[in-house]
Amino acid sequence: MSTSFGRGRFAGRSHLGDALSALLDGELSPGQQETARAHLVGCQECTDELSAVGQARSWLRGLPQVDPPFGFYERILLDRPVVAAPLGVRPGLRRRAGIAALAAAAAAVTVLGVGSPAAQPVNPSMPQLVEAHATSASVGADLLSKLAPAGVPVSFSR
Amino acid sequence: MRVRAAQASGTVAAVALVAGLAAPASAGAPAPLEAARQAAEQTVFEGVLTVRWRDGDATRSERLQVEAGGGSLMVRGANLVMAGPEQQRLLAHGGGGWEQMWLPSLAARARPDGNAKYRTTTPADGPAVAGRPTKVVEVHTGGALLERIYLDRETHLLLERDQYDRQGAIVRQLAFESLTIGGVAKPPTQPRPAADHSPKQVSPERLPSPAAAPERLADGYQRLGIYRNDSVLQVLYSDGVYDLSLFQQQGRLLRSDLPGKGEKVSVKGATGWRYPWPGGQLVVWSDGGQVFTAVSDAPPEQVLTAIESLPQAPGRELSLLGKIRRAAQALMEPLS
Repeated sequence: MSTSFGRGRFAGRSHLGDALSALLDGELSPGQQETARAHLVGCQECTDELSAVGQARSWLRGLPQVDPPFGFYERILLDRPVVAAPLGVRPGLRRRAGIAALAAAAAAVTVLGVGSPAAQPVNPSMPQLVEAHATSASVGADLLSKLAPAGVPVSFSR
Repeated sequence: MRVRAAQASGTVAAVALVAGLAAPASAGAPAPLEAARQAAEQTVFEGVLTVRWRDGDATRSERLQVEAGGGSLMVRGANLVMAGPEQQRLLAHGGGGWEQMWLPSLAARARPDGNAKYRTTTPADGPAVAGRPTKVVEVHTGGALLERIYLDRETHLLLERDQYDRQGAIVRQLAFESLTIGGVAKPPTQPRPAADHSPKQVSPERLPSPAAAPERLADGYQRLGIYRNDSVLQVLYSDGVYDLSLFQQQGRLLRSDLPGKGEKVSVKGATGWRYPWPGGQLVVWSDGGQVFTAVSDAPPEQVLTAIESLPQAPGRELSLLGKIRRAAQALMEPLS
């Protein structure tokens, strides 16, 4: 949908943009929600973005909480330097290197959590799947029965 | 009660004879539906088509402008949909650009013989639809009326299709409000080059497991083709009258991400959710680290029977403990 919103939070916009996150977080007023949902019915771009934002939120929610093994921090920061400090490097730098390693480790956990395809939450894009079905199933079949319903955008109330 | 193939072929021949319809070139839809298919591809017409469908306790409806000629058919609703020459399919969301949804190179197998499962009645004179005289045909299976189909007496174009539930109430209807046949429609023109959103054909041998795309499902559904679009695998099935797409994505389903109005159903011992759409219904569920979405125009009980016959998904999702263990191992490896 390329029309601009006339007033309120969406004034002057042709797409929902940041309002999509607010919609998912329940931060929009009922009127704004209604406007946003009405826009989503006709705007595939915003529908796709909503799906992507929703998926990112789901991924984050799905990350495992990992407790480090006993003594993990101590080994990194005190007893077992992860990054061998060159001669002359001050202890403060070594500590920073350890913290950086911790940050990298945390990032690794995040990547593992998100990157595991089997564990990744999936939010099927129902409208797209319906369209894919209608267009493929209409091949070699009655076009009016099988294809015409795809002229109606699919929307499901949340 | 299923009709034996031999009896069914006799019925079809009789139906075709009485109706004066051309016999289908191959096995597939019963003769009246095959005649309607050919008419939609060959007739020049334009009209307004209304789609009505039951959505929970409410009935929803949309009007669509349809025009056909020169081997193409265009549907104008909030979405634009076009069937172009050589089986091209294009779609544009309101105001957006055209997307190529299906290419001629994506061959599908011929549909199975629908007469093995369905019985169609002899065409009889029906009421006028959009001011045109009709022949009405009923589609039955197991003694139950599934559909009444009203075909234009002159061209065999489908003018109305009513689908019934087990209680005999209409759950979905497609009907012309107005229709002009012949010589008035300007043939829909092929849109400018569209973004390619068509799937890629997948050979069964290239699947990680044959269980991902069984050749047959219960209730007579046979596989027509396997396709992939990005990370989504689509297996298309048909029983000769209805079609069923089984979409598969790796991952797990979060109930909180699904639309709230779904009807809870049991699928292979797990919980699934069913949603109506203008052309049928959709069932979504999760099994063995896969998210499945079945989209079909078939009656609800048929869809559930068909998907119940799917083999157990081979992969199993890691438990939370498994995920933690794997993450911790990977984390500790470079540090030890």
